[in-house]
Amino acid sequence: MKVTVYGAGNQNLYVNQLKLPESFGGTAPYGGSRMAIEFAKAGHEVILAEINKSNLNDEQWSIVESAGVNVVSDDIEASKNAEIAIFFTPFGKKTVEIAKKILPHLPENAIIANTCTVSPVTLYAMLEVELRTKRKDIGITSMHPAAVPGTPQHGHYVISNKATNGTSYANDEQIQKCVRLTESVDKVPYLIPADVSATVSDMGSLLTAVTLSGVLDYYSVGTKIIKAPKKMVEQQILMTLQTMASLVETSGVNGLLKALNPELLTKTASSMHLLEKQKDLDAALDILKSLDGELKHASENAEIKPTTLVAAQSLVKELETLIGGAAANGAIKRSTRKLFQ
Amino acid sequence: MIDRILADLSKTEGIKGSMVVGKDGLVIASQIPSNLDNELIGAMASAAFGSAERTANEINQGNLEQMMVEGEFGKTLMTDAGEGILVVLADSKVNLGLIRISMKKATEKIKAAF
Repeated sequence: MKVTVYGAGNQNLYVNQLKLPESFGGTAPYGGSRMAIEFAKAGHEVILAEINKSNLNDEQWSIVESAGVNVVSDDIEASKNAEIAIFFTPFGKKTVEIAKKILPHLPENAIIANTCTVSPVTLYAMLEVELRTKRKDIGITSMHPAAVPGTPQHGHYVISNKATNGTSYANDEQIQKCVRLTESVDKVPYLIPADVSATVSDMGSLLTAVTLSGVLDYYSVGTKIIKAPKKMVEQQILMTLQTMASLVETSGVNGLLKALNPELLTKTASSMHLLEKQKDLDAALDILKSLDGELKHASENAEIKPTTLVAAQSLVKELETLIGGAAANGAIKRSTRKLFQ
Repeated sequence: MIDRILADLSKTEGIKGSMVVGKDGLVIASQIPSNLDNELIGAMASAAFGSAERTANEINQGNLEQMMVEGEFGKTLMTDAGEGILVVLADSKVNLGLIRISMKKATEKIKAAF
C-alpha cells in the first residue's frame, strides 16, 4: 500500500515536556514518524511529509530513513501517489489547510485519514464543496492511534465508519483498506461511527469513561435496587446529560458548576448511595466535597447564560417535519459542527 | 462551471445576484452582493425552499417548481436544480417572465453540472 503520513510529531514535546520514555515507555521518535516507521517495516511504500526538520534530531531522522521511509517537505508531491494520506499535523486549521491543498492532487479513490488533530466530521465539513462537486471519489475517515505512537499503549487504530445517522464519509472499500493497513502492523482496528470516534479516542475519552461509569451506576441502581421502569431511568439519564451538555455549551464549566451547586449536589447524591460498592459515586463525592478554591471562586463569579434544554432527537424530528429532510439535515450539520470545532 | 452559469445569468436585466446551494444549504457557488452573508443566505434559502416544498406536498399541490419571496426592495426566486437550489436576487420592478426563462435555462445547466 502507498501511504503518506503528514507530520512527524514534535519530539521535544514528547520527550522533554511529556517525558514519555519515563512515564509511558517506548523510544523516540514518537508520533507520525513512528507510524511511518511501522508502516514501512510492514512493507508499505511510505512517505513522511514534514516541513519542520527540527521536530526530530539527526539521530531520530536516521531511524526514520533507515526504516525505508521517504522523507519529503513538499506536501503536494507527497500526495500524488498516496492511497492513504494520514494527517498527524498540528491541531485544527493547519490540518484543514493541508487537506485543501492536496485534495486536487490525490489519486483516484484515495483516503484522507485524520488522527487526533481534527474530527473526521469537521474535516469533511471543511472540504465539503470540493468533495461533493469535484472529488466524490475521496474518502474521509480516521486512523486515530488513540495513544501516542511509539508507546506500548499504542496497540490499536480507531477507524471512523458510517456516522450514527447513516452518513458515509468513506466507502466500504476505503474503510477496509484502513483496516488492512492497521492489521499489517499488528494492531487492532476499531471501527467506530465517525461522529462518535473522537469521543472515545481523543483526550476527552477521560470524560467519556467517567461519565459512562456514572450512567451505568445509576442505571444499575435505578433498575435493580429502586426497580424503576427502564424507560424512566433512561429518561433521567437523558435529562441529566442534556442539561449538563447544554449548560457547558452556553455557560462553560464554571457556569455549569454554579448552576449545579456542588454543595447541594453532594447532599442529594449521597442519598443515592444504595449499594455497598459504588466506587465511582464515592470518588465523585470526594471530589465535589473538596473542590479546588480557584475553581470555586471562578464558578461563584460565573454567569449562567440563557440555555434551552431540549431533547435533541425530538427537535430533529420536528425540523424534518417543518422544513423537510434535506434542509433539516443542513441545519443539523451546521449545529453538529459546533460539537467538533 | 457553475460559476460560469451564474455569471451568464447575471447578464439578465434586473438580476442583482445569484447562488447555487445544496438542498441542505451548503453554498456550492455564489455571486451575491458582498454585503450579504453567503452562508446564512444559503442556510435560509434551503430552510425556506424545504418548508415551501413540505407545504406544497402537504396541501396536495405536488412538487414545488418555484418559490418567490417578494420584499419591499426586491424579489428572491428559487428553483429546484436537482441536487441543489438556484437562488436569484432581483430588483423589485423586473420582467419576471424574462427572469424565469433565464432561470429555467440555468437550472438545466446546473443539473448537468452536478
